[in-house]
Amino acid sequence: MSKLLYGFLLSLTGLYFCSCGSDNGPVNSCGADYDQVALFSNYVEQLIIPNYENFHEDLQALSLAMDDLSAMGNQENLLLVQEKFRTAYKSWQWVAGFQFGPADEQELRSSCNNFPANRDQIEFILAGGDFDPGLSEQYERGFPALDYLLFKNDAEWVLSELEGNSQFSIYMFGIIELMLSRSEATLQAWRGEYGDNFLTNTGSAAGSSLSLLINNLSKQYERIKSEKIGLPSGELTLQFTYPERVEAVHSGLSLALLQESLKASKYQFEGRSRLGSQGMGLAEYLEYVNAKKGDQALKTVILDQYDLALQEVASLAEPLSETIENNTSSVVDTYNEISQQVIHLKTDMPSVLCVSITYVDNPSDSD
Amino acid sequence: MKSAKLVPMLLTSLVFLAVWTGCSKEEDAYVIPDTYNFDNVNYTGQLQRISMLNEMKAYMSLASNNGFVLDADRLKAMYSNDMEAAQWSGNYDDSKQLKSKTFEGVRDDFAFCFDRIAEASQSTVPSSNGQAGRVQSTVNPDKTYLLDANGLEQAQIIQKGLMGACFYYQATAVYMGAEKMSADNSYREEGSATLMEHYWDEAFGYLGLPTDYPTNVEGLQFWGSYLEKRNAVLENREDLYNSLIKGRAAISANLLGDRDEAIETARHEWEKLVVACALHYLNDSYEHFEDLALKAHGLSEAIGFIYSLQFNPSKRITNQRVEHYLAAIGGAASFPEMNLYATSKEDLLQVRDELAADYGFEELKSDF
Repeated sequence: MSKLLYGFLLSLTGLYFCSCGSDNGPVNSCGADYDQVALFSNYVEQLIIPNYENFHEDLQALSLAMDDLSAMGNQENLLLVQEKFRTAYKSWQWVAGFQFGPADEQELRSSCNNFPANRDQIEFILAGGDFDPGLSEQYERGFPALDYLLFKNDAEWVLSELEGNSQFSIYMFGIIELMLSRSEATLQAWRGEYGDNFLTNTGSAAGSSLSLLINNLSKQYERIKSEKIGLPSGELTLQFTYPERVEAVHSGLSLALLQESLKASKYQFEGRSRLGSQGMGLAEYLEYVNAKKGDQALKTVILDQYDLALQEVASLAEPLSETIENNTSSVVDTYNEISQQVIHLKTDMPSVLCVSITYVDNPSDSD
Repeated sequence: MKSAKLVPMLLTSLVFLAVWTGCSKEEDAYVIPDTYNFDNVNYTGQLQRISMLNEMKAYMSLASNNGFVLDADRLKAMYSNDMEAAQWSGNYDDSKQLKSKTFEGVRDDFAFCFDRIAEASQSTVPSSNGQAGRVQSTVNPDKTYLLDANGLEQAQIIQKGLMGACFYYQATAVYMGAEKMSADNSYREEGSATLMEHYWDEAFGYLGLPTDYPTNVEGLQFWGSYLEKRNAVLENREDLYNSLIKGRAAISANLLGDRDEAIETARHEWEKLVVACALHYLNDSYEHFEDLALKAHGLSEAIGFIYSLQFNPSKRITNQRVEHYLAAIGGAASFPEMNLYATSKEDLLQVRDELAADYGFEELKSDF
């Protein structure tokens, strides 16, 4: 009897010692002795510069196609412009996670991809209103405005506008010129001093290259989650749906771009080039510090989660705007799957690498 | 008792003591007061918006008098706090608006209601199907209401609609939402709350209760006054009020798990209040179905409350369900398309029963 009791007591004591459990994982040193310079070199040389080059070239190709279209307004040339538009829009997704430093100075994101486009303002410009592409924080430029101009109506309309409305061409070229010049300036800065300094800006303090990479990976991931799917699907807006707010609503590219951006995010985490060659990346850094989530490697958890999210997106039907209306729950499921990753990128990874998340999702007012 | 048995028993109780107390050093370190009595509570913006809605309500109520014509532009100016055109009695900060704090997706819906009530106020004949005008209750001749051509009392749609799409939304979705609730909770400027504490106080502000409720039931505003009115049957005024107190205390003690529990309780209890209000007015219009004034008034109230259910992020029913109820009452879910002259008594009972069932109020539904 008393043996039984003592056994019970012993097990209780054991319970007690486990229940308040202190961290029994390895002592984390933030991986201070990791070769950060080599890590940053891989990011700059295999991801950032090539992706910006790609993006810039695709914009040039789009611009050339527009020249041809404006010289000869026919169906064939329009199709070519539309194709170049799709290619460049996809390439944008591969630089969207690097919107700091020169890109930030150039306001590249808002110059290229503020959506949803401001329809009223676009119509106002088409009707002869002023257009100043360089004005900050507007929603009538970049891909979303081109999406409207090139895909809102049928080919006949575009061709007749091109021929009959001088404002149409001025506007269209104004949009592309701004994207060209700002992406060019960003690329040059990376090839020059900014890129050089980035390589040696070691440590994990705010403003260090590691902090920039991690903050922007997480920030872009949250943008993907909320802008591309959360808000239009109603998940962030009390289930009021806004199908017209999806990215690329008129060209029907929303899911292709969502897929592309998740893939770009995954590769960015891995330190993999767009073409697929693997180099040093945050994934390896996590392995180096032996980061765990439960009993799994954090790196594996993150990679698996990317794959789950990509699979969910692949299961949705384009156009996303219609799927939101007809099959809301499938979109909500995808949103939930995508959301699972946020805590890994925003909390787990920064904490083991001793980086602070310094961005604010939405500067909000209160009164 | 033999000592051989005593020893293990003593040991057992010792171990239990250790288990129960060992982990709770921090969690016990905060006190939840009886009233909303905390340091540095400040929600002037909420008081101003409540006061603005009161002024709108007072202005609109004048139109129940024959010959009093409402100005839609003034109503719109009140909504967006355009000082000059609003002709306020009170003093409000420039930055405080009802409109900018109303759920974005429905913010412009109310413009229709302002136009509609102003148009109705021009009528010089009594209201009837297809004809806007005033109608006096036969049961209670003190009550006269202004109805639009479809039999809606827009003053109630506006008032209850904004209680939902603005106050209720701001409190449950915005201030209790993830973004505001990840605000800083460590820095306290002299004489001020932390940012997170302040956000919570703002949520409390929209409830329209004095900080020393329920001892003090003077000056209850909008939701606060309904909380008190429905309490006789719903009996949840302490649950809702205390959840706000608990949340604030938990934030001050930086116990965010407790705060999150308080958020869920507050959202749920507040939602029950909205439902109880809807059921009350459905009963009211059912009971006075033959009295056009009381029926239309009750239905318009019920519509406003049911519409409000959409704005809680933890709501127990879907927006489709809300639309179903609105359409069952008014023939359509959108304000411009509703017509209350087509509503039948059976429709009302059906809506009441279904809505009560959604929230487990089957037992109470006739009592509200």
